[in-house]
Amino acid sequence: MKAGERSDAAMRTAHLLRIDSYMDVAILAMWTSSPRVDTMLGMVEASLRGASPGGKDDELLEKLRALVKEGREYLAGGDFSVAMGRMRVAHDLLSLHIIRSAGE
Amino acid sequence: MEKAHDIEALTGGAMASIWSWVEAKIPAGVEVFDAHAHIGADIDGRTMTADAMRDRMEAAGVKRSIVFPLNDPNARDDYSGPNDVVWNAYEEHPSSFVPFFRLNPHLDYDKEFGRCVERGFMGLKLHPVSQKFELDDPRVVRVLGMAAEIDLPVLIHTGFAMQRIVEPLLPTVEAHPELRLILGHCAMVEVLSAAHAFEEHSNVLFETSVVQAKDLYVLCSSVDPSRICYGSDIPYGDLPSTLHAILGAAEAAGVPEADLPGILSKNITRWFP
Repeated sequence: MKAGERSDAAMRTAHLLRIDSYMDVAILAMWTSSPRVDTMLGMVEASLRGASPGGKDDELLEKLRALVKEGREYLAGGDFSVAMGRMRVAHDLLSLHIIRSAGE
Repeated sequence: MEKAHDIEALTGGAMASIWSWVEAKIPAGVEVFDAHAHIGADIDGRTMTADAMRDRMEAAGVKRSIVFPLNDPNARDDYSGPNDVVWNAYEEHPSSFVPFFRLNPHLDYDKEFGRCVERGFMGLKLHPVSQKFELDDPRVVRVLGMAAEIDLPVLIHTGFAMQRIVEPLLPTVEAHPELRLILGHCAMVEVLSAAHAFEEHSNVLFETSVVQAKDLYVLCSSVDPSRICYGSDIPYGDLPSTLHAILGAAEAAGVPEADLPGILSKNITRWFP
């Protein structure tokens, strides 16, 4: 099997759950003012790179990339509440997308 | 201190399409009621003034907010100073704020309880994590009984860092079914257990502030919408992202559009007409 060939529901869910985990870690790092928070946000951005399995979740990933990028920038600029708002919305969009996908 | 540009930043850029979606989801004519917000200062450095709160409410179309002190560094023994800050905000803006007072159950709270009730505070806020108490502590059970006796609503933090919620709280709710209780952050770590345990206790409301949408999905899928009320937890949360969370979760859970006015306003407005 070639990379990117599989795009069934399980594969899509696995890919999105990976991103969800990195978001969890980054948001916790933000709440706890971890000195590694920017690194954690960088890991979220890395997990969002590239196409989704079969391209089926690309529209969502595009939205998440924009939110996380801005969230990281606002945090670096010292605006915690705006940064957290971006991350919270990104996380919620992802969670609800996974939940909806499970019902398809 | 709240930054003036935050209000635009919260709804611009990548949030613009999200905010447009939220605004379109709020039914016409609904005056959003935020059931969980803070005014004052916290030991963690966060602050919120009455004016900054009203700016945010106005920008987001929120009509009224329940407000109470943060975990204030100047709380001293009885919370009287931070409670006064909230009362002053209410006196300045009575149509915007519903004032709750805060107590530390570890300390002698009778005098401050009486002072605040006499003054006209409309509810009590308790925070088991900040003040380090359990919900079945006899001093907590006693103050909840005092609130029930005079029909004073109580909001209890049941969110981040909570480890015991339903089991220590249920006996008090059963003993005082008349107690009007708001579960702040909707008992998120035990949300499904709480939904079952408090199902028959119609005076228990589940408040949604800074709860993840997946928890809110479970909540919306488990309790009648008439038991859910929206909150923001400003300054820890913000209005756009918390409105998005509850509206997104409600939609995914199949909550009828007709129930959104209740979640956003009417369910809590019944207690504070």
